[in-house]
Amino acid sequence: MQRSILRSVFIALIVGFTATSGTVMSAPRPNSFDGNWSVIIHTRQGNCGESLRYSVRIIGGQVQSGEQNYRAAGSVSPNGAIRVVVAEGDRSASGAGRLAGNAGSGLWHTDRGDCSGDWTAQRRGGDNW
Amino acid sequence: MTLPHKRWGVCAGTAVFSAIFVSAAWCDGLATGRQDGPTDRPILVAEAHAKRSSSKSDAKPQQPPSSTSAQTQLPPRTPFTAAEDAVATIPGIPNARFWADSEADFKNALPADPGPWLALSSGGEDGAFGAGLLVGLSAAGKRPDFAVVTGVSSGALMAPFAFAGSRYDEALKKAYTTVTAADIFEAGGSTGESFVNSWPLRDFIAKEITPELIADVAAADHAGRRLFVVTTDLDAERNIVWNMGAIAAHGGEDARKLFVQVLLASASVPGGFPPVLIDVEADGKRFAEMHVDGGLGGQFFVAPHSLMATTSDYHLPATALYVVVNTGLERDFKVVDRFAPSILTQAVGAAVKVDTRLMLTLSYAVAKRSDVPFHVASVPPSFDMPSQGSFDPKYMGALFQVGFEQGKGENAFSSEPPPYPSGTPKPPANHTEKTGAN
Repeated sequence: MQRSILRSVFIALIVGFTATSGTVMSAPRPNSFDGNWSVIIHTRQGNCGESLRYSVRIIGGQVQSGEQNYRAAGSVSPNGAIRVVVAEGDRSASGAGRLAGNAGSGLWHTDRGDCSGDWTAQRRGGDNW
Repeated sequence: MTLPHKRWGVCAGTAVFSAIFVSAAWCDGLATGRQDGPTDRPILVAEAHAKRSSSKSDAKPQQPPSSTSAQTQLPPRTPFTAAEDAVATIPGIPNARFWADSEADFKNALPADPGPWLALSSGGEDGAFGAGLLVGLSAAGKRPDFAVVTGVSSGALMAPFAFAGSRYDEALKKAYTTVTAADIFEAGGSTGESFVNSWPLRDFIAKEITPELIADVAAADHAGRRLFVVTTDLDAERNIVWNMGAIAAHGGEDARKLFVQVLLASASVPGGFPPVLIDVEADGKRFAEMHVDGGLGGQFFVAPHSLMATTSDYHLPATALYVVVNTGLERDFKVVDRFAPSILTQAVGAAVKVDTRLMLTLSYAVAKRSDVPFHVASVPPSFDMPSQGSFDPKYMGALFQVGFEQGKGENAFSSEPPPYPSGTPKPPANHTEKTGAN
């Protein structure tokens, strides 16, 4: 019981991605970037932590979180251009960049301008262990 | 694509059950969310989305994923009995391990000749202290050639380097001063068994545990020295001591994989990180045991508890006992939020300190009755640098340096456990508690 409560609390708090486009997910079209990705967020300016890694899934070009229990969205165009907005409390950060093949990278900044940095992404397959 | 970590200080100071990582997971969650209460989060996300999309009249709120979740359905486990588990062995490596409560197996696994023993405790990122201490001892030319090295949790991760000798000091320093949270865990990638996924740590261990290091561990084992790492068999609620030298001596890819699995399991705080399933065999039946953080059975390991007990007359066959406590032992005062992770983090953190102190008292007692010199080092109370997040390289680098200077200095170890705290706990530094108090 305690475990499930903690899990719910944690997942509810962990992070949220919101879409920049407002695209409806009801009819996703296959996208060459569909799959599981691992994204490392690097802070280069400001006091926003060093590096963190998040699991992200892309389905039909739509960015989602790797968890069922929290919101995730964003969009990837067929040429790999990606735009994401992350919201935390009353703050938000914008990220943009490009995916190519099994990797990607880009920049991000908080909308208040107090932190910024870059991000890298790698497509992930199944775990062997 | 990330956000400021306003709440690191709340829980970065506590690593659950000795080890590393639940604090990281919880802090991560806290850092990216709650200011007024856990229920605020979804609303705020929705509000932020609405704000962003308000300029588009046709914008519609994104729905949370449902059946498209990446969370996988885990396969069912092969059932087995307590009797089967009691006699289970690693296929092909029968001497890979023994129950931590088995006096006979423990005595049989010890070196033939006595020598100095080293016990490395849990501590998560505060393992940087122990790493620095060992490197400092090397720099001063006074690091013993330990006959037995034991490791639990973060102590397990550094144990192979400590065991293999000072030629691995640079690798040890690098591992504890350049690692970041991204090298340890991935948020949002839970398998349903834990808050976060630990595949980055698994890959990190696999990279750092090189074939050369395994070969050196095997050679040292052949020379009569022993490297023990402790995990917890969660099914049996018993600790297991892994004879890492025997595993290394077996060689091959299966042994290397098991070596990494054991280290990962020893540092996998249940709930925070996924358990590690280890394939075993009993009477021709194969199944997998569920292993988690070794700290569940004590923050460091010297001998089976029955042999450590004050009612036992067991004498350690050692020439000296060194204990490196990768944590501060002082109480850290804070006004705890009315929030489950904050409450649990503070509670478990306090329990870990008590457990560590009791273990130190027991170790001191067994050393004394064995006429074995006792040496202990722990994170000094004066170190109060705040961390900017879990596995903050600047914090870990500073703590490594503290350990290094202590190891290099005249008073690297104390001959008695630190005194029990009394009176008022120390105030938090700059209103932010240091990371990894455990």
